[in-house]
Amino acid sequence: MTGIIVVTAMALLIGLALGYAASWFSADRDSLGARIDRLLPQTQCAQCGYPGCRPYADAIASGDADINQCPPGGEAGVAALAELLGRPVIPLNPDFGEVKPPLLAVIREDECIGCTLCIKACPVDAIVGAAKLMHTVIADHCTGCELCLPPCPVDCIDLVAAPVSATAALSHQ
Amino acid sequence: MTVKQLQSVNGERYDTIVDCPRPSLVCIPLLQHQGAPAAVIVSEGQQVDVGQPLTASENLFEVPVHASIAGSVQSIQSDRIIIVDEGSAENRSTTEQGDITSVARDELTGNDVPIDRLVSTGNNKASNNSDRIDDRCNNWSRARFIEEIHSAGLVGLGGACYPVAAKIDKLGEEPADILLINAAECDPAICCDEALLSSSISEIATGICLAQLATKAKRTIIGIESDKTHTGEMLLDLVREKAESSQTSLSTSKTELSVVPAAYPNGAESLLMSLCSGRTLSAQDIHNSRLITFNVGTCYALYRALIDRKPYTHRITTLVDSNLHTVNLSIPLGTPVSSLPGFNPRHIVFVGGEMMGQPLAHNAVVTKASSCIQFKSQVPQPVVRPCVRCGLCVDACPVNLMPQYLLAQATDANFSNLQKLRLRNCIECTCCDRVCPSHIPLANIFANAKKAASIDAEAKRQADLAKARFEKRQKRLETSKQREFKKLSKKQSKLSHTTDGGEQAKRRLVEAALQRARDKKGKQVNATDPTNAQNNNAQADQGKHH
Repeated sequence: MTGIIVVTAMALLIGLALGYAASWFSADRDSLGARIDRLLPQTQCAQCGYPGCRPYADAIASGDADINQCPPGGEAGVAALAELLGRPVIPLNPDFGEVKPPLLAVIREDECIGCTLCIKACPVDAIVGAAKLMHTVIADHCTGCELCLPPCPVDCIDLVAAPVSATAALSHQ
Repeated sequence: MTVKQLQSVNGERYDTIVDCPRPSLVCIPLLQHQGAPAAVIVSEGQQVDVGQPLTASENLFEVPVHASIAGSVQSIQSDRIIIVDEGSAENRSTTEQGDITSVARDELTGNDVPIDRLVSTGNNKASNNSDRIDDRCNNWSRARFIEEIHSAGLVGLGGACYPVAAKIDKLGEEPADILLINAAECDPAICCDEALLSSSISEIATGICLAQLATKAKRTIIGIESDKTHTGEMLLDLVREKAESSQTSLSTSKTELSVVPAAYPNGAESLLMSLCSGRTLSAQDIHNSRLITFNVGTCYALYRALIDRKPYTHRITTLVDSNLHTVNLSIPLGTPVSSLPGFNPRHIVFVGGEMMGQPLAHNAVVTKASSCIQFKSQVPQPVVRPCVRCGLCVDACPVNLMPQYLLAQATDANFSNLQKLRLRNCIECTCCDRVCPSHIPLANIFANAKKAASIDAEAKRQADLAKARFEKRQKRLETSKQREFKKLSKKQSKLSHTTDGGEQAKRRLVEAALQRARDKKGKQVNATDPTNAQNNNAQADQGKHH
């Protein structure tokens, strides 16, 4: 009888411990895809041909994609990926776009007709607005991915150079 | 005119502040503080007076700048505004336009400006300023203080140029735990605060009272070096006197004096706060708590802004020429360095003190940050050799960092290790540079590493934010897709799982819809007759049951 109780208690305890361990030390954090994802710039611009940075990271991990398909990461991004994967550094593939300085989308608000198409296109939900009402870009959330440009029917979105925010300028003192 | 001439006219160098010969042209940078520039509100060709705001903003980190001389706005550029004094503009016709250096130098040699003493020693003009505090600032809310201070363009004059209004705003509605008045000027070359203390001590005391009112400080500590103890005691007495005689709530805050050893770099904010409060505090600790530091120069500027209603237009700067003659000048902001007395085009210009001075281009101008300007005929250029790991820098560091490890990590740009080694606590005092036998410019390397680390941290923050938002969106799209799918499959099952087969069920649904429409029509017709309402409802119910 005691044996049954002890074994049951042990089973319960170990089960609980394992259950917690699974959620605390999730396998995903150390998977190759996640480690590659951490090196990507997270602009979610889909220039690499995948719908976001994580899908591209998984594609690199499985060998479907090469490491030189991410223009926002630049040459430095390729170098970081090459170091992680132990591969030679290769130049960026120009088929996937060219390196640009950090950008920010700005909606010319008096021209916006409120069609909500850009809201649906934004991969990071950085555009707010409602149907037939003006839309605007939350500057701090915008990654400058340019995905809102093609769907806009009135071409009222501009890309400007991302300004250095006051808080960023302050944080290094 | 040389610095020596100025000195001979004005006698003792530390006690007086001399009016700088008025420049015919000033070039006012829009960004003279930590933060972003405010929006320009003047136009080219407009006449401006001394103290007229050139930029304005509601944001406390966008501090306005003001015209420091009267004249007309010659040009507005993306980062600066150039104002020319009309009166002396005719002399300038021979020099080429646009080159500030040559214009100003020409002015300097062509003009023999008589030297006026601006400020006499302060004690004899100690007017009853406390009454004026009552007149001006009694019952001011904190928001009012912040607004007035912001519009006067005040920034911390200890060197960091942090917007004063933002510093007070950070407290919220809470009182400050400690208000530290920084009167400890530790750099061996700088003496502008000392000169200000001896010439305008009464005004500074009023400024301290104003700072107490604005911050509602529970405790005020005046931190001064041991060789100026007498001045400190005088200042303390004056502050207490003013607090007693005024009708404001000043008497509740306690003021005390703290004398610190006269050694570099004890005047640095974090070190002075640690010495005065008896706790070891880093710059980050101070930023995250309700401790607030005002330099004596800032207190004087507070007095000028709130009592005299004069915005901040003149910087008091210690000028050291190549022969080590020192003079304290009140210089209009934006004055080209080349039009300062004692300037020689062959000299190397440094801004900042003996220890932390940084080389400055000859076309640079005096800003709110210029506490000291030095002209040097030559600078030793020691040969930099690799680190020999002697550990002298570790002993020299006043904030207990390990510069040799920091150097190794900074060369590798390893930001996570730099953070572990507390790079952010570095006050860039250059003590490690002075002891380094290999002459490695450590402080400069650390300053650059700090900037790079903050850019890296900002990029990481943005990336994490974007990633989190992207993942949330993916999840949301997934759930809404599933919900849609469930809805559709439910409808489909409703149609297909009836006993009579799909056709009949469809017909029944159409019939029910038609019945609902008829009921609605009937309701509209009978809406005016209340007796029929019940009847209608019954019909509608029947329709549903059917």
